[in-house]
Amino acid sequence: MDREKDVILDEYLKNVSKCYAMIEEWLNEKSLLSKLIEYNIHEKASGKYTTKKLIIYKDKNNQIAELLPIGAWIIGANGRIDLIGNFDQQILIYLKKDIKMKTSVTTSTNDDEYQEVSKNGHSLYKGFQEAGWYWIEDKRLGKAHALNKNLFFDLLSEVSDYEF
Amino acid sequence: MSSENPLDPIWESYQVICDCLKIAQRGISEKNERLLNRTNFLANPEDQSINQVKNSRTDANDYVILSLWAGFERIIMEYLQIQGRRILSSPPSAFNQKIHEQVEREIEYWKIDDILNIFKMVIDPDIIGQAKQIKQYRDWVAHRNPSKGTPPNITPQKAYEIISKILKKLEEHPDFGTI
Repeated sequence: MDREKDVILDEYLKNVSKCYAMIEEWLNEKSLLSKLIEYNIHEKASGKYTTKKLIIYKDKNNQIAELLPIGAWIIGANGRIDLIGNFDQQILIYLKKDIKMKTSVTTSTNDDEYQEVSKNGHSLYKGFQEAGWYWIEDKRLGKAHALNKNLFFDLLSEVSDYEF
Repeated sequence: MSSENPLDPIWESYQVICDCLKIAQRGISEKNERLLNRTNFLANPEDQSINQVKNSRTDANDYVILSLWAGFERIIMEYLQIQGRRILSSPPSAFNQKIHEQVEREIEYWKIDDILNIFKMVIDPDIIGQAKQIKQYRDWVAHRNPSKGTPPNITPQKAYEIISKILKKLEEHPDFGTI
């Protein structure tokens, strides 16, 4: 694997760990249990690597959901983790920077010469504030929300049908 | 019938779909977020998205064979109905009228293999045999009955060529061309 790919994978693995640490704190506050289990991923860009998935329990014997890392090479994002419950699943992505889409109109006076008329741009995801984990509400509408405690428990309820 | 191939709109639409899938695959490979903006490819692993595009291309190949066959069946049914009207060519008696009504109604229920066999009189039986293979493949695509086994694969290009050849032969044949 080349250096650039190493950097991408290292960043992803660190961001996954940070995400788990943040969520484990939130789970503790609600007296929910969690456990990290080794998990292997194979991506074409990197080959096989080992990371961890986070299992969430309401008590010792009852799993309600899991956070499953999906990969570092994600279209329009810098990594993805899925929150999977018995009822549904939700996508969490890491966004490092705002990806601006050019909506400029170009006109050409001849084959080689293009003139930019407007430099207005819009974000790939509405709702981006700063680097971090985001929940994608709607891919087609490009709606993302920064992951925070309230949002996480809303999503957990939705995927697991477990009320907090 | 006009000299234009009536199946051309289906074929052109299929080629547009193939081109769009090719552009999508390029967009994914090049990580062109402007192209992929507001699509379901966003937030998906690249490998998975490439596989989705490839699977969609396979599906498009199957669906165009379904569409081409449906169009072909409709056209040959129309041919048969036109042929059936010959019963009425001399001043039609009430009896002829009744026969014609019955034939026109029943044609829709004839087995396609039997219809194709009739056309062996005016079209090379080998080509009719190939058309039956397209039908076999079309049936497998539509029903995916595992107990019937997978028939030989037919490419869309081959299906389009065989069906077009039959329609062209029919159009050129004096029995049909004069109608």
